[in-house]
Amino acid sequence: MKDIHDVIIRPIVSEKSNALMGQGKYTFVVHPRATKVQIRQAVEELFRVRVRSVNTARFRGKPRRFGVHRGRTPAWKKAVVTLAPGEKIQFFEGM
Amino acid sequence: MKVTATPREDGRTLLEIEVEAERVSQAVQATYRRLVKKVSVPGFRPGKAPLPILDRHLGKGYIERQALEELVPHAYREAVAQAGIDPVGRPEVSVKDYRQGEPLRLEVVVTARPEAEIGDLSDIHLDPVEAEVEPAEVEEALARLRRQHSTLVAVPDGPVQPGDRVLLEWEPPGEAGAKGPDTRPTTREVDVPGAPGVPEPARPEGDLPASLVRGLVGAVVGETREAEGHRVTVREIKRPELPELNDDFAREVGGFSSLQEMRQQVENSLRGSKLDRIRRERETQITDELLRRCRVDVPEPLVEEELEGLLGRYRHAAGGTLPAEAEADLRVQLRPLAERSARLNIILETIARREGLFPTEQEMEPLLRKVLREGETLPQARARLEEMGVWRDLELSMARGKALRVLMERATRGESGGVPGTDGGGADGQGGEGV
Repeated sequence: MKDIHDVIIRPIVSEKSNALMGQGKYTFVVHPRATKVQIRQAVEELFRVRVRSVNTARFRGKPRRFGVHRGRTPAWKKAVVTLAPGEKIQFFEGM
Repeated sequence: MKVTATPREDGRTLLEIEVEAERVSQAVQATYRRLVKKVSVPGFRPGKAPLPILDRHLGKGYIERQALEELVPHAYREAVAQAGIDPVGRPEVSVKDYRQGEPLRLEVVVTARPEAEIGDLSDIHLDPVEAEVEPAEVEEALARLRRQHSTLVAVPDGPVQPGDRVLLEWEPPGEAGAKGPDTRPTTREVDVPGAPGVPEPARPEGDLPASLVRGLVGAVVGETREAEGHRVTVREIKRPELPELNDDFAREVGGFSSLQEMRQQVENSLRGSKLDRIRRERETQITDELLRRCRVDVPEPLVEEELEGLLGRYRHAAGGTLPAEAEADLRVQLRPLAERSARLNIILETIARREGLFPTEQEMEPLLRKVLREGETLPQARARLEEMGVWRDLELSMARGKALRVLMERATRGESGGVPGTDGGGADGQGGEGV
């Protein structure tokens, strides 16, 4: 992982993430091997905000079968980034 | 809502409408609330997606456009009412650069319903006409009914009598007597006139001459008769066995309790159709006078509206659509009729307005009850019709009917046993529906 754009993959827009935004918490899909420190740095640099904490969760891919072929959906990592009080990510505003 | 009306040189009116930002935002919120329950947005339960997310999901600006589409017709209706304009035809509406949070500015060009210059109508007079039914007419109608319910019995030899049904072999006139394949005889069945209930033969182009049909009396099976180059040979003679004209017949045919009742009903029915015919003739008489004595400039949208209405009937009869060429021809042919109808409408509306003949709420109620949907209240039904834009048309049509009725009453005043109303309701209690 060389670049911060590789760390943050995409924001998660759902009812839950939308509710968390009211508490200054923003949710992203991040690189499965990204560390909390890397996520903090990436968010701070990308959105020009101060991060208070990062919580992460890993999701293992779910088994899927397509006929005789067995496989798994990709594993992924979610990060809930709490910003310092008063901070906002402009990108999410108006969403 | 602010409305400025400016008359234009072409006789139309420019309406500048400004709808408050608050009202626009209410409309957007209402549209959002309606859509959010229907649209499924990934990550959200139905009805839970916030407005910006739903908007992005549907395509940026979609909700706003949808809201304006609903708001603009409302604003237009309010604006014309505020400006005191009775519009005709379709308005030209344009939205002036709308920005979120700002008032909505609309420019609408409308054509106002014109007024006619009503000439002197005081000396229009309609001749009094009585719809009298002669006893012979009733008897003839009863004879027709008896004939309809008769049993035909073959008469092997003949001769033909008036009232018989005769099967003929018919040779139409060939070219210079040539017996080509086109002059092969065909068979025809005819009713020989001369008996009660048998109509005189009409002769459409190329059909059997009436004199030949009448001249069949006395002919026997196998006999050939000729007239005007047509040659017929009698093949079969059938004679109707008429049912007896009594109470049983009245019961069987029309469910009447007695022959007397049936006779009365037949008479009423005949009188009804006579009155209808007279009414139509008088309507034409009076409308011709109105068109002659009143001046009116008909705006094109009104003629177009009438023309569309007329074309609609043809389209309906043709099963939905007409070939483009036929429609173009019809447009040209029907145009004078549409113009006449539009002119007459304006004249009658002007008279109705001046004489205060526009229908009251009470008068409109029976009409409203007819279109009432299940669980709908009268005001709701009215609102629905207003929304559809047909309420005004109904009011106008009723007013026109009343105006025509009043004019006809005046033109025939002093006459006894006048003509029923002109609203086509047939509610005169006399015009039976026929037996």
